[in-house]
Amino acid sequence: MDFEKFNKFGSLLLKDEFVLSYSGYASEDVLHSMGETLRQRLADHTEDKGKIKHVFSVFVELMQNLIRYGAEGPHPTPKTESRQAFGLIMVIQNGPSIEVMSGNYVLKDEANDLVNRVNKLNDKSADQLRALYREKLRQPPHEGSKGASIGLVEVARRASAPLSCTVEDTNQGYSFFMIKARI
Amino acid sequence: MTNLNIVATSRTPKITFKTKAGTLLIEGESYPEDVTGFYDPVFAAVNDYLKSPDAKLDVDIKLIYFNSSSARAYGTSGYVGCCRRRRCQGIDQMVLRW
Repeated sequence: MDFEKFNKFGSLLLKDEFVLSYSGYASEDVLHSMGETLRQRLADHTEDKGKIKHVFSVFVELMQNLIRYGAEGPHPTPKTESRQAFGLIMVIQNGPSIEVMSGNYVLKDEANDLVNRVNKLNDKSADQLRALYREKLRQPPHEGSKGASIGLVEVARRASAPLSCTVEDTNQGYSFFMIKARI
Repeated sequence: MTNLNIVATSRTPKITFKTKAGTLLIEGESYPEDVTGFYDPVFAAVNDYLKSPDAKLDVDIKLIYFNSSSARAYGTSGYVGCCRRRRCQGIDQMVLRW
């Protein structure tokens, strides 16, 4: 990569007042370090403890979804024994609200299913989301569950606006699934 | 019967389980990398203790943050009835006594 491209990537991010971003192979260690940094930076940035909690919670849930369900994507590394999810996660200040966005590869068939799940959650009221969350609490995670169940409900509950998501197809059998929550 | 004394980490809570006193204290953060690996031994020890006929248990949960996987670990454990209580939903700290 030449410096111009590299700098462009960095400059894009610096336009925003508050930003934390990661792109690459995600792991629980990355989640943990980023989470701690995020909390500290949020505490310097806002005194609204509820907001800090919501942003942190959405970040953890989206990151764990990415780690657990994300695919390696179009450039897998067959040499590594364990599957590693490739993804992108960003926390951005946008006016008075903070947005948490994540993107990861999923198999094409799963992408539509994920979009449907998100749309269904958006149709629900706060009370319905709470009821659904409670219901999920008592259910063991379903086997081979792709595209989180309870994690997404938690994200929808913490967000202060409907979630948005979109899918970009790649030509290698994968889709890049992107989701955004505003708090 | 097993007493537990688990030291807190930045992502897992401190857990103190005293069978003689019948107290379970869970305090701190909860978003473990491996939720079942962390909580299964705890719930196993408590379930084992609860089998004795005169068992009584005072549960004190003070979690700063818990993720949805941790919440489900509590929810499916069956005996921490927190999840049926409104106060458990997205709050700073919950204190249960039964």
